[in-house]
Amino acid sequence: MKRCFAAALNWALPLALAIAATPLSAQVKQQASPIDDLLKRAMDAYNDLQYTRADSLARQVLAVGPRITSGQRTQALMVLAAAAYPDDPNSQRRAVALSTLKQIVRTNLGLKMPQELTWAGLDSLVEEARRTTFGLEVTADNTQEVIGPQGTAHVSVRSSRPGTFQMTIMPASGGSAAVMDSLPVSTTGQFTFGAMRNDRPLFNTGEYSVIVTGVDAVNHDTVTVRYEARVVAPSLDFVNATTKVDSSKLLPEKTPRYGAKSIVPAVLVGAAAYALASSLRADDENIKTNVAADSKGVAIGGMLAAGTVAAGFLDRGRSIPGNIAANKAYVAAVQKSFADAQTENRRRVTDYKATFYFNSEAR
Amino acid sequence: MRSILVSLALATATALGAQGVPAPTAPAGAKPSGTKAELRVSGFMINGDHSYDFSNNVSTETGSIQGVDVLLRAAAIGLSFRSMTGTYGDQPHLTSADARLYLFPPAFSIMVGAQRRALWSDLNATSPSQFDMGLAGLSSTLSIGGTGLRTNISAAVYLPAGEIKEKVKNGMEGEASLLYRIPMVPLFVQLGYRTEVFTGQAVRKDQNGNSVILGSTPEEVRGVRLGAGLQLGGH
Repeated sequence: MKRCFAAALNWALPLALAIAATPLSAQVKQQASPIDDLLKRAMDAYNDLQYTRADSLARQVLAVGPRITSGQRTQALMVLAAAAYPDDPNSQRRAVALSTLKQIVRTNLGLKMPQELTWAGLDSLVEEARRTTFGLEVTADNTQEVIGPQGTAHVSVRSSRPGTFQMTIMPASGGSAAVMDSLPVSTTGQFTFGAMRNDRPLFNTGEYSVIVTGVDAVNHDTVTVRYEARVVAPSLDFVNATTKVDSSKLLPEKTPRYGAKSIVPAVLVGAAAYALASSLRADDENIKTNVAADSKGVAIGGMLAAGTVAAGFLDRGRSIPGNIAANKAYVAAVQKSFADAQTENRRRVTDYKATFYFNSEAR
Repeated sequence: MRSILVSLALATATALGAQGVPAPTAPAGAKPSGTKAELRVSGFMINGDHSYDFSNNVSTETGSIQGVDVLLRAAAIGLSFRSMTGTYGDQPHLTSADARLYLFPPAFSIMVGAQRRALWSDLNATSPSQFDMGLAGLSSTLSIGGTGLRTNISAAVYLPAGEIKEKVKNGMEGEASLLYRIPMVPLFVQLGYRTEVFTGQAVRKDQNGNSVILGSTPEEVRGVRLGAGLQLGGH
């Protein structure tokens, strides 16, 4: 009884001082939470040795359901356990207290009862609950920055007994899991995961649920803890590189084929040769009479004409050095652009940063 | 065993500031390869016949002319020198040399020049019958694409010139040929046909210094021209 009073004093005095020192606006804020008010009244009832009332008030808190925070829930359960196992033997309901404590340590392995609620007997009961329950504790640094494809974030897990663990990180709004990982049988372990895969971000900026499930290796008792995390993961934009030469942009490197254009010079040169052999004669009738026209003129004229036409149609065009140089420069520019883009994209991947803000309070 | 399974929700790379490479642009005045400046040095042979009428006696002999030809051309101007000597059976040897100036591009050039023509025999090598004359004509050289083949047609008339202009009555020459530049090496070959017609006159000065024409000797030289030589530049 004396211990209870002292405990009540220990708890109430700082609270009173704190309230007195708190600005009015903050007080209004605090009073604005009916859950906290209920919890306070439950604590007050416990300290006033009104265990039944404390139990009733704590149950009212738990009855609120998912709207209460993890901390409020744990606090309500602790009041419930303390009210079920006070140091007054006549008021002790050991089974209820043990069951309640087991409920707490399942997701709060490091449970420590507040000084104002506990006593030696209850501490022993907490230890018994911890010893006989498959409990899980998940810890992570609140803020973790992950840089580049090699950067990793970590979530640690600890259990009261050997078990296997699985972690899933998925968007709070639902959808595909961004990360799934598992650990082999152990009592401690650490999940390690990156923010990228194949040089692409795994996360989008937003709220995520971190769900850790532990399975007792012996009796397969399963405990699931759910945390919230906010991920700030900017989109990763890549420079769009020109990867190949657009042949439609290339300038012609040769002139068009000469082709049919060769017919005119062919006719001219052939006809000229023929005319020179047969028509261009000395200004003398004797020579014209006695010396025949050169019959080779036809053959030579024909050869010249045929050769010219054949060459025209076999022509592949003349190279245009200016265009060749321009095309070469273009190809080099494409290659350089691609290399530059690759370098820039590599840098963006390497410098990519995602930040994880873990809410350590389990839901 | 540890595994990480990743969702398919991968961030999609978006095009940001697409770095397109500008298309190649042809440099100002991008022209086909080759240069219009050209140096050509060649040796040639004309296989054919030489006919002349001396005092109503026509003589025709087959034979050949050997010569050298040098051509130096720029885009719109050119210069050439030619020397050749022909032997036709028992006829007097025929030697000529000329220099020509070409104006305008090779595709269509006007050529003017001067020529000395000589007829001589082995017994009278030091005092040949010489004829000096001017030349005026046209020349056209066309490239057939990038084949290295060119057609060449030229024609010129001989114009009386020199101290005794009456020695040259008239004359013409014409040539049609193909020139083929061998790829990768600065060499070319030539095949064509050439004809020269010329009428020289025997002239004597009288007491007053006037020219007296004693007779004329028409002649024609024609044959297949084969040549080869060095070519630098051109296309």
